[in-house]
Amino acid sequence: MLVFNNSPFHQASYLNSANRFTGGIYTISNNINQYFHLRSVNDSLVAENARLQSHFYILDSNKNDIDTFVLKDTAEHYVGRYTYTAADVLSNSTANRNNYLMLNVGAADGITKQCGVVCNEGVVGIVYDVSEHFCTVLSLLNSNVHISVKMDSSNHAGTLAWNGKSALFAQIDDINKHVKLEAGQRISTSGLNTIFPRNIPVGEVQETRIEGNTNHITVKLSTSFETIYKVYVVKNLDFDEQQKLLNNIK
Amino acid sequence: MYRDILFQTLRFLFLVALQVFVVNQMLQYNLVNPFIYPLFILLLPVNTSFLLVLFLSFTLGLAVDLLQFTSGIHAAATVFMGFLRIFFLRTLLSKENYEKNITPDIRNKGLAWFSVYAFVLLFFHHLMLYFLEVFTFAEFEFTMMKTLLSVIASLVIIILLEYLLIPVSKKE
Repeated sequence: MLVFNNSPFHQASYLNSANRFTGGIYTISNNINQYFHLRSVNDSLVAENARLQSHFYILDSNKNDIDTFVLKDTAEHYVGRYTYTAADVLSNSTANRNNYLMLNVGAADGITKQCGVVCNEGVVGIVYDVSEHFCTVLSLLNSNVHISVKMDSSNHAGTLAWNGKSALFAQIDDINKHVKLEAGQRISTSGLNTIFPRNIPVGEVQETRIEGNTNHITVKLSTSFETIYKVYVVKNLDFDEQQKLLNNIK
Repeated sequence: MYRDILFQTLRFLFLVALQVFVVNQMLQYNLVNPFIYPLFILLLPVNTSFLLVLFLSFTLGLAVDLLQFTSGIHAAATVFMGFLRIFFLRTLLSKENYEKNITPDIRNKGLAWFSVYAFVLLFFHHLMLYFLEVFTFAEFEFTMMKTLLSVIASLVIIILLEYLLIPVSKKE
């Protein structure tokens, strides 16, 4: 469900790559910068702690590995295995048409291309390139990123993309117009791709506009992209196996 | 001579750092997204050879590209601007200016002249940059709007920076 449109323009990936030079520079800048938002980082971590406390029972059923989060539904069916790696955001942008982040984790921490990136507020993006100690991330605010999402109330799935106009809103164009939508309905990841687990918050419906057969939905993003400092890289441990099966279809 | 090279190198590093670590951190709006690093190319002495201007433009753009993870769009836009600069200066400067090898800045040419010079070149730089970034004419109006508003923002910051840099260039 995830379309990864690498235009020829972006294939000059030696310019995009997470290299030691830019990584080093941004590490220095981050070491200075992080003091300025210690308080907000602290607040968000406390809020997240509270949320995790309330979900504690899910981890209780996990006895495989302390770092592995096994997602099970109520009937104890196997849904997926994901590892979470905490990371600092070294650089971030929201004002360009295609925005990128750089994180201070890399191949040495087990990060690979196409891992998901989330923060305590919601989805952030997808890992694009990995070096030894750094990785670059395609932000959700990037024309090359399309994420499979669902309405929490009805489970209708759609594809979320960003039109480049405002860092607060993204768009869904492929949910059928008969689906009843109201402002404020919550939207989260569908789990229908091999990157993100299910039920990670994405945002809520801001407004809908029906034009012909298309239902243009504007989504208010739950992640405030201008102030992301701490994120988690989500690695799907079954990614290669699933991807291999998907490739067999083609 | 060596002093000039040292001075220009410092200015290069200063502007790239200012762009990436200050302007990009402070002014992040989708419609207004100023770029001040082209000031380095604007302020090269008028007799700087054509190839050197193009080479410096490319290096400058590439430095910003590497730090912003954009694949070459800044390099392309800055080289385009460096290319236009020669023609712009040839039409608008007198022989005397070339003989003295002046720096085309506010101190030598006045605020009005510099504003027009900076506006035109920045406009083409930003136009190239934003259209390469979007890489489609589908969002034409939005991109044009973004170009115009950003050029105005860039120009204001660049003129303020110019006044900041004047005392330094007097020591040359």
